[in-house]
Formats: sequence, structure tokens, C-alpha cells
Amino acid sequence: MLFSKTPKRDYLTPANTLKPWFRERQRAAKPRNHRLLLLTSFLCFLLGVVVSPLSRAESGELTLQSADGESSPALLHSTDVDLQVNGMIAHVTYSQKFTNTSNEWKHAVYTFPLNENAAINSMEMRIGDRVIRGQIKPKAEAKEAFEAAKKAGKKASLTEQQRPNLFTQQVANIAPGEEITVTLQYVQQVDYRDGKFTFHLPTTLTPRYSPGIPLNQFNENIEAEISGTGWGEPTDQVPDARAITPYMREGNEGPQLTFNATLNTGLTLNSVTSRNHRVNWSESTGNYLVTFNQSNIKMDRDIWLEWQPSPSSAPQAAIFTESKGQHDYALVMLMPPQVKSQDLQDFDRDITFVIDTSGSMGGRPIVDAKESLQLAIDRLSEKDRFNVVAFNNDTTRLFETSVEGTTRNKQYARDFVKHLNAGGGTEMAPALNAALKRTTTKDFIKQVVFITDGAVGNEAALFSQIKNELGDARLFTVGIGSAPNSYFMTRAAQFGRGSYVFVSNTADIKQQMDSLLYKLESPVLSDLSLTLPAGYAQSAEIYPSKIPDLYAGVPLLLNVKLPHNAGTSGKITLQGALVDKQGTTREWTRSIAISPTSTGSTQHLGVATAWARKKVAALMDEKALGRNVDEVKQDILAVALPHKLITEFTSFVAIEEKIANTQRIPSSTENVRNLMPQGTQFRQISYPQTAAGVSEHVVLGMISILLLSLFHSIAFLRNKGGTRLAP
Amino acid sequence: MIKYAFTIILVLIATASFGKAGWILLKAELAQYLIQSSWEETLATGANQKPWRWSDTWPVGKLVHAKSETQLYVLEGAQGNALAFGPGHHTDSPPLGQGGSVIGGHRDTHFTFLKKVRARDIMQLQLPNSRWVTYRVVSKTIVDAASAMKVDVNGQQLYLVTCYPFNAVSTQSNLRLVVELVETETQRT
Repeated sequence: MLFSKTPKRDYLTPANTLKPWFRERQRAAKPRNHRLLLLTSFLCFLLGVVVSPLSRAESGELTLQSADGESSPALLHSTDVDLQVNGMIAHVTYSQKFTNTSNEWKHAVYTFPLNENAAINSMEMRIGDRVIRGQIKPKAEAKEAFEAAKKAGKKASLTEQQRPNLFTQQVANIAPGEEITVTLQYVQQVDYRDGKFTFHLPTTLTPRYSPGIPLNQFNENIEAEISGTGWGEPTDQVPDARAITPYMREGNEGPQLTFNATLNTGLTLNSVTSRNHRVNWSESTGNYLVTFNQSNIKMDRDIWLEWQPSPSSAPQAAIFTESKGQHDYALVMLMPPQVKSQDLQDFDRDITFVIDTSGSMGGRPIVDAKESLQLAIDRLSEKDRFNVVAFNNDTTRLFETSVEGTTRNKQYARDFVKHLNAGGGTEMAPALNAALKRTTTKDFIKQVVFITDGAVGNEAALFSQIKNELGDARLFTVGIGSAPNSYFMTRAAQFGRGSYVFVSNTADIKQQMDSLLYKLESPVLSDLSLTLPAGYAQSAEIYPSKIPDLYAGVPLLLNVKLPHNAGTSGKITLQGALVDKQGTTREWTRSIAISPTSTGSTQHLGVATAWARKKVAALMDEKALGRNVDEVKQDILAVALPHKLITEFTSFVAIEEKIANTQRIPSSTENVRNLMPQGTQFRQISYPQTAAGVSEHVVLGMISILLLSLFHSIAFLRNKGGTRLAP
Repeated sequence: MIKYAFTIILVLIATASFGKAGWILLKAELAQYLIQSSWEETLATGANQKPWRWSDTWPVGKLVHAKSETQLYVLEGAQGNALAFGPGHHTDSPPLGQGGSVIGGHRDTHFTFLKKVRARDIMQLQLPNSRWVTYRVVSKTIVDAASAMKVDVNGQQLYLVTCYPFNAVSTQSNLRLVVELVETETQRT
């Protein structure tokens, strides 16, 4: 009956002839309308009941941070950097301020990076107006003194080296509300290549991977023997993993840095720039003052301050000297001639590109690494042979052996690179092995381009491997990311007799890769020989002890130590040969005057320290190559203690004799967290779409049923109304 | 006549909708049964095994949350095709078992159990090499899906992601629930 007749749109006309549903329940028109209203309301209410829980946010579930979750830091930390450049020596005053905002006593631990050439030769601790000068001591002795002072409730600070570019600062017994500043002074030789001077200051580090077998699989009680407070799992290859893996944080908060620089280069500068920051610079009486646009710099990317002399004043040779004690020290720079690769004789190359696809490359670094690699592949010519190796935990070789650089092979390689993703560990050793230990076609020069962030903890073992497996190959490194391990990059290139570049952001790729590819395409400067004034060969101690391979645009830098009145004045001369397109050999020379007693000449402070640092680095290289550790330690102590240098075997410690925490109130240790490097930070993943649509369909079904019932209720009620009005 | 048609259409819509909802739930349940055998084959052979011939995904892990009696086979890929049959491992994230891997799942089918998951709960994940990894829930966080997810690929984390709120009508939710788990054996505090 309900469906028997077509209802008419006649709610207002009295001509409704439909029969009522229940005759006996006739009602007046007014109540009927109420009834309809009630019914509608009820249905709406039902709909509401159904829908309401769907949109209710279950606030109780929003965030459940577990007990060991990150609490807000009680220790605030900031760094002030003042840079003074004199010639090619940078003097840096590096002040770290620790502020205890809690009402408890605190010990602070901060793992911080510096450039791998930084030679820290002074440390002092400032508490209010009291200044306590740090003493250089053998590492174990310094640590013991610090721990004793810490236990006794004295204020103390300890600066230790974990890696040449990674240090740990500890400050003990910071009173509630107190502020303690630790000021380090260091000397760093600035880099000069491709016509540009560069001062590099890292501000954070990329979390490092420790290859090897976890130590606690051998020994349950290993915990007690391991120092450091980081997250890394100590392994047989990286037993100090804890010390080089500080906890990281993301976001905007975290340590901040202020930076001011004065450049006294003695040159007319064309530009002063910073790769990752905006700087302002102005000249006043030959000095260039540099300030950063932001007064507080976020410590999530390296600072690369670069200054370019005007072409006419670009130095071809330079010497800086300092007299200290019974010795003269000199830093000598000799620049080989600038040539274009197309003017030089061609040679056949067999290049293996090795790309790091480990987890730490996730985010922007892998994108930049892939783009850099694509650029290098594009530049290959048909005469070149090449291969691509990608690695994380596993090593994947694109071709079984290297192939010709044909369009087809290049396209194949490009497709392979395009589909690389970052993830997994950083097992460099097998990848290096695959690249270095390959056989190559006769008469081809073997080159390896290693693209990575260097985020590993087993640097020394890798250096030794490079040295042993290199043969006549050349290893070039491309440092990727906002905070690459520059120690690994530069030393790997040194052991690999190649060169290095850093791609710190996407905008760098073109320029840096061009500079590297140019070095790949030009032959190494050959037949190098160095002539020293008479008597130098016996008395002078020069680093590097052997002339390294030189590439166009990269100068030879010599750190010289000479006893007073030894040898005669004379010239240091570098000679070499170039073979041009026609095959003719052209000789070239560069020389500079040097006198053993530089009385009257300007003293360049820091030259002696820079020499000592170079000597320590040379000794550390010997250690990496397997020289007895105790012998190396004795040799390093002999140079580091008189020069007051922090090294792997020496640390600075400062202790205030007065006992501060007299009541022995227990203090807790807090790690200052480093910011994750910009772009690289955590892997960026877009969220998946995760609703199958069950409730969508259920609600649609319910709405249909509700509509249906609503519709029929109306029909029914209208029918009733109709009978009442029917004649 | 219009009334008749209208009614029929509504009935059809209701039937189709309920049917579709039921089908989604049934498919989700049924697929897990089918995947079970291919997972066992994966464990035995060590190679990826497709659960059915035309499938474009394969199981890469087995996730167990004992407290809610949940046992799920995780498929490769967190797109619609895989998620209909099981939670999916996000291909952009590191492989399962390595730090920072991400598993997505439908909030209204497989990952409904995340509602009941609490901090410090234990979950186990079996990898294709038969190894079991034990994880502990560290946090549950609601995030904006418009932002990119940041995972720590150097840590020991596993992330389970589902849409939020659980009972929302629209499938286009702009909120996600992220359950962060940390491997327990190598717990770093």
C-alpha cells in the first residue's frame, strides 16, 4: 500500500485522496506537523549519535611520552667564535658558554666538531670574574685530575680530542643558575686552492656509523671500560663509538653560535662569501671585517668562509715565519702554474664512481650526491672507461668490469643512479676494495671518485686500506652534506694521492664538481722536484716529508722547522714539467726566498703551532699505517706538550682549587645535544594514505537508510493528513 | 513511480555501501590468510614470495603485538594496492630491521589495533631471514600529514603510521598517528 500509488506534490491542497495508514489514529493538522518535526529531530539525533564518535579526537591518546623520553634541557649552551686571519694562519677564539637553568648541580658534556687541522693550544675556564688557565697534560693524567676534582665538588673543565675533527668538552659542578665559559684558542692553516682562501668551521656532525661486531657480544662487562656517553654501540673496529656519537636533536632550539671575523691577508680582496650563510664585509685600513647576517647562527651546517683576492694580487708564492725558542718556523706556499685541461695532453682514464647510499645520506644529501654523480657521468667521453659502485651494507657494482663511456652505457648508468635510495649502514671497506682492487685495461689511468658524507668511526682503518690497495690509482673524494666528516674526506684524498671537494648545499654542486672534474681531466703535475738552500736538508724538519702529488690550482704547502743559524739564506724552488697538446714538455719553476734567521721580518704568530700540528698529523698517519702505538705516543707527547697542543694523547684540564659543591649535593650529567645537520637530518618520508574507507562506506549506507526512513515517514504522515482532508 | 525509484536507489546505495565496507574488511582478513603461506615459504627459501600470482607485492615481515592478540604480515609498499591486504613497508624508508623503517597500515582494518597500543608495549617483528626483533613502544604522536615524516635512519627505531582519528568518515585525513618503537636488545638510553 505504501508503494501502491504515486504521491502527488499536494501537501497544501485538500484534494489528497490517498488512504490513511492507520485510520483510527487521525489527528489534527497541527499535531501532525509536530510529529514530523519530532521524527526529523529524532533521526537527526540518531545520525549525530552515529557520526559523533567519528570526529571526536581522543585526547587521552594524543601523546604518550615514555619515562625516558627527551626532557627539556636544563643546560643552555652557546658558542662565540672570533676569527683573526693573518696571511694563511687563522687564530680562533672559541668560547663555549654553559648556563645551568635548573636548580640542581650539573655536569656538562658537549661533543663538538672543529676542522681537522685545528691546533688547540690554550684553554681557560671563566666563572664570573675568576679565570682558571688550563694545563696541557697526557690524556690519562688530565682525565684522572678532572675526575678527582669532579668528585671533590670542585669546578673543573676538560677538553679532549676524540678524532682530529671531534672533541669533547666536559665541565663539572655547575651550580644552579650559574654560567661557566670555557674559552679555547686554536690555530688553523687556511686552505688556498682554485684562487680562493677558505676557512672551515663545522658546527655539528652527521651521526656516525660504526662498522664491526658489537663488543658486548664478547664481553658482558665491557660497559665499565667504555668511556663516552653517546648512542653508538662499541664494536671491534670502533671501540670508542660512544665517544663519537653524541645524542642529536632536531628543530630550531639547540646550541647557537655567533661569528665575527677580521681578515688581515695583505691582499686586495674581490669578495668575501660564505657558502651556507649570508655575510657582510667591509674594508678598513687593509683589514676586512666580516659579520654574519644573522647574529645567532643555527649550528646545523658548516661555515665555509671564503675570500677571493683580485686576480692581480692572487699570490703565486708566499712565506710566513715565526721565531720561537731555539727555532725558526716557516710556512711556505708555492702555487704551480694555472693551465687549462684542454691545453694539456689527453690521457686515457678508467674512472670508478663510488656513491654512499647509507642511511646518514638520507634526505637532501643523497639527492645532491646523485646529482653530482649524474653531472660527472655526463662529462665522460667515449674514450673514457667507467663503472659505478653503490654501497650501504652491501656493495653493488653496476657493470662487472668498467665499460666505455658510450651514450648507451651512460644512459644505463644514469637510470641506475636515478633509482638509488639512502638506507642502511656505511660499510665502506668492501666498496673501496671493489673500486681500488679492480684490474684495468693497460695504459688507462685508474681514478676513483668517492661520493660520501664520511660518517664513519673507523677512519684510520680505511686510510690504511686505501694506502695498501691504491696501487697506481688515484682516489678523489666528494664530501656531501651540511656537516660532512672533513677529516675523512681530506685524509682519504691524501692517502689516495688525489684531491677533494665539498658539496655543502645544492647550489654548490656545479662549481665544486667542475673543480673536481677538472682535476680528474688534467694529469698530475709530473717530475716535481724541490730545491732547498744549502744545509737545509740536514737541519730542517719539513712536513710533508715527501712532495705530494700536485693538481692544477692546488698549491704546495710546506711547514718548515729550522734551528737558529743553521743553513744559509737562499731560495726554495719547486720545479715541474707539463706536457702540452703537441706533446712537448714544458718546464716550470716557482721559488721564494727564505732566510734562516728572520730577524727584523714580521713575526707571524701561529706558524710554529701550525708546524707542530702538521707533525702530529704526520705521526698519526704513521699510526694509521701500523706503526707501534707506544712509539707514536712518545713522539706525539714530545711535540704536543711543549707546543701545548691537544692531540689524541694530550688534553687540557682546568681545575679551581676551591671546593664549590661543599655539601656534596649530588649532580647529574647532562649532554648538550648537537643539532641534526640541515637537510640531512632525519629521513624525510611522506605519510602514506592509510584509510581503507570502511567507515566512509558504513556512513554512506547509514545515511541511505536514514534518508529512506525519513522519506517514508514523511510519506506516511502525509497520507494520514490526506485521509483527514478527504471528503 | 518516483517514490518507488527513489526508494530502490536508496536501498541499492545502502546495500552497496555496506557490501563494500564488508568486502574491504573481508578482503583484509582473507588476504592475511593467503599471505601466511607465502610468508612461510619466504622463511624457508629466503626469497620473496608473492602471495598470489598477479600480486604486485610480497610479505617482508611478520608483526606481533601479543597484548591485543594481533599478528600481521607486512607487505612491501605502503600504497593502496598493498595496504588493502596488509600493512605495508614504506619503500622510501630503510628496509625492515634497520633503523628508521616505516610501516603504514589502514586505520580501519589492520592497524585498528594501534588504538589499544600503549607506551612500553612490546611488539615483535620477524624478518625474512627468520630473525625476530623485539621492539618497545616509545611514544604515540599525532602529526600533520602535510609535513614530511622525519625518521632517524641511524637509530634503532621502527615507525608504525596510520591515519587519525581512527573513526573519521573521510578517507582524506590530514592527521597521522605515529607509533615510535625502539629495538629493545640494543636499547640505548
